[in-house]
Amino acid sequence: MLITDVRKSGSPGGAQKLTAAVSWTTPIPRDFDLYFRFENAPGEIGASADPFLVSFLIAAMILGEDLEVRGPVDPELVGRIEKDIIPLLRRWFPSLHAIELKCPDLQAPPSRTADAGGVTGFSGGLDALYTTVRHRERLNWLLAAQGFDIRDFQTLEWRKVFGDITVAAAPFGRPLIEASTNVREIGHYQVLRPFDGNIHPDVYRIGPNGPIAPFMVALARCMMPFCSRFLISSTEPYELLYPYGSHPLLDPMFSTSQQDIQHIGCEFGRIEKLEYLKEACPECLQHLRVCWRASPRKPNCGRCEKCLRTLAEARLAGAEALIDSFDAPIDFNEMKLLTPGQIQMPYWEELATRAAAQGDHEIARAAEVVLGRRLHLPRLKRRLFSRRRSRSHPRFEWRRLRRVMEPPRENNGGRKAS
Amino acid sequence: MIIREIENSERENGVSVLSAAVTYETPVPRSFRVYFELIDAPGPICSRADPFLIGFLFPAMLLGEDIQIEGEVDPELLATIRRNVVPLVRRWCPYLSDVAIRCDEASPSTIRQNNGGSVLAFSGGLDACYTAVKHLDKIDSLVVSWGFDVRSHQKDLWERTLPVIQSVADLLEKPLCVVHTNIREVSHYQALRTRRGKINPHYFTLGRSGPNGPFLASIGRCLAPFASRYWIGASNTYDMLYPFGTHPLLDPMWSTPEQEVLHDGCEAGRSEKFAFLLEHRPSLLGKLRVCWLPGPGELNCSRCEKCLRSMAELRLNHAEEQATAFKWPLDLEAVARLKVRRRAPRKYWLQLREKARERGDTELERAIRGALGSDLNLQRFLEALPRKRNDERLAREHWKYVRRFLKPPEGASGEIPVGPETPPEKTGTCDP
Repeated sequence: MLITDVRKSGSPGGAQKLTAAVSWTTPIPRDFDLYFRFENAPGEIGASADPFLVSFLIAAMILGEDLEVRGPVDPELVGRIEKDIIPLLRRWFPSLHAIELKCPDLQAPPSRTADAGGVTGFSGGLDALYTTVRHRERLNWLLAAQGFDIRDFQTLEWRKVFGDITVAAAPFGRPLIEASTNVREIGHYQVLRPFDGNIHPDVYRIGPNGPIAPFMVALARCMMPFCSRFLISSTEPYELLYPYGSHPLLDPMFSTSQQDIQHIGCEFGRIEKLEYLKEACPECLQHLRVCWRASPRKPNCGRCEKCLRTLAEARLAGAEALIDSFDAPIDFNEMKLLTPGQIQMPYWEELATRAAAQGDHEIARAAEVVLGRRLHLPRLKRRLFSRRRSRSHPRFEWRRLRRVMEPPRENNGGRKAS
Repeated sequence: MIIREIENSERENGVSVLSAAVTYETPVPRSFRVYFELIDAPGPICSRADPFLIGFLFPAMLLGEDIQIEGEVDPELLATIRRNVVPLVRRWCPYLSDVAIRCDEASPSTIRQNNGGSVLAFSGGLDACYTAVKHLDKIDSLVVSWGFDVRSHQKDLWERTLPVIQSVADLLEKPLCVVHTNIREVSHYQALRTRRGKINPHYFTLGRSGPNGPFLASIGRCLAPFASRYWIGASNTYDMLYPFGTHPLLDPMWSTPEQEVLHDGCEAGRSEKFAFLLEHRPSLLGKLRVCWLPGPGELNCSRCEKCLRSMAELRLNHAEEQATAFKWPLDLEAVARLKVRRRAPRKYWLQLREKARERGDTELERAIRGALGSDLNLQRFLEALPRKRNDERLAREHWKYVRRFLKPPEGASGEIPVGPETPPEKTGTCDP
């Protein structure tokens, strides 16, 4: 895998863009243009190739290709990748290949004496809200990035979502940096294409939507000149951790002496985070955004698995009345028909336990139905007579992945024009 | 729980002692004197209450007692414990209580500047040797603890063990200092005593013999005046991690600006570590100590589960000639007779079985299959038949194991009176 032609364009005050060309040969030669674009960065973005090295590391390990970066790279980062990150990833995912990094142009970034500033990825979700409230004093800017939950070609959706995120960020009084990237499209979905019909077995374990933390770290490395601290919000509490693309062991390994990467929030589960936010910053819960689908009227559809789960969690945390961003109230009949994936099951376990402890029988009953411990006839009927399979079924996962791997007709998926 | 009367003294024979009186309140008030004796150290011992706070944090959480310290504690350590350690441990073991820590003095101005030294917690075992060889240029000295795997009253065993560890340190050309402590006795076995017959099962998730990580970290804090880096060798690999007293997430949480605690070696399994030593320091394999209960005149018993597992790993690395610390040949019948039920060693044996299969060692593979119970064995089947459910049996065996340790050794009273008495005189020496 070769990363070359690293260029920076634009200037502070306007949009700035860092681009590079990436190509690989397995199983057939392919090449793409990559970009990281910042609309309103508070300073000049870096011009090094670090972001591309970080974001394509796991892709190169999946393909088994050595990674050559023709551009300036921080030698400390290369050392940490070789010494810590590759051994960790190979222990977690033994089918990833041991690769060699070829970085001829090693350049240490200019050292700085003072703390430049702190940034966190902000999606308006529960984990991001918790991190922002808890570490408000250590944060100077919030970063909203297109190209993760909203894909890089979904421009209209992004405008709406960015508006929602801006509203959610308003209580904190921190400027919001808008960024976009196609790194997930190329570094995850396009890398998987060679395995068409035969997906790499570790892909889902690294993260069904790609190794999120390395992609976030890539954005952080772009902001190196004005960001000495980048906080990544945790998804899982300590007891539910498993090898994954974002982990309190993995994320800090991307730290260097010039930039500290921290994984924040493993000490609390989702209900505890809601309870904490209810006490510490009740106004920020009003615009909570957890849904990947969204509705035209509100940031959350109120009907999907994540929305229903969050509504139930908010009710148990006593924060239901504070939230005004769901399109529909909690519907227990809908909830009982949910078929969450394996990753979501521990959340439902926690929900069932907490609901039983608090005496909320409606939630407890619904969670037990979802967990398959209680019979619910409509659910049984649907499972028996519907062709729809469980979401955790590999066939379902494959269908879903194939759908997102196909780029829309008007978009060429970042591919270079021939 | 009250920690008071913190004393720091120097004896004539170059032994520095840090001691404190610790009082449990649950279920009846009991007091013990806890000590750290530092022998042949390159610098003075810590004078604050930090080591006691680290060592007694988990027992206090187990007993649900607030900690009151009549002494000086590093405010950074206090903050990291409150902010990081307690939330992590409570997520892992929800039955541990959230305790308040009250201390009299906590002033950052009292932090002494150390000389930037780097010390490795060293037992002469595989994990410690691997970290020592891997970071030979970064490590200045080794510290070995008497009171962990060799208990503080096992003087004979210690006198046999220390010369071997000293010879390994000589091979590595690093100075060795000794810390003699009874912290494990008091903070683990004595804490468990209070719940005789009703041990909190979650406490064992942090380590069967006590939470080793905090004990090692407490020793590291004793060395804070001259060690700015303190290394702990990893027992488990990244893919086999589970909530445990020593863990790559937990150990670095004991770090403060004064001292960094590093957990090293998760990237390599035991087989890889043996291969690494074989390649870089084969002479160490002749001194390697993996056994907890060796007989008189031997370094490793070559009969217990851990010895047999290590020997199997060495056999797969073709290192029998170099590994003179074991009695060869490997007794495959003894391997086949093992009953590997506990989760952690079972994972190691499963990995070993795969390796044996890959390398075509069919004899060893068959023996390991026997140990894991993979093959149908009529005798074993009949043995297992009348017993109760597996987990109940395991719990009963576990309780037997713990009860053995809870009984004070013959001639030892167990409790050490609080008062003007000083800790026991130095009984070990660093000279081989």
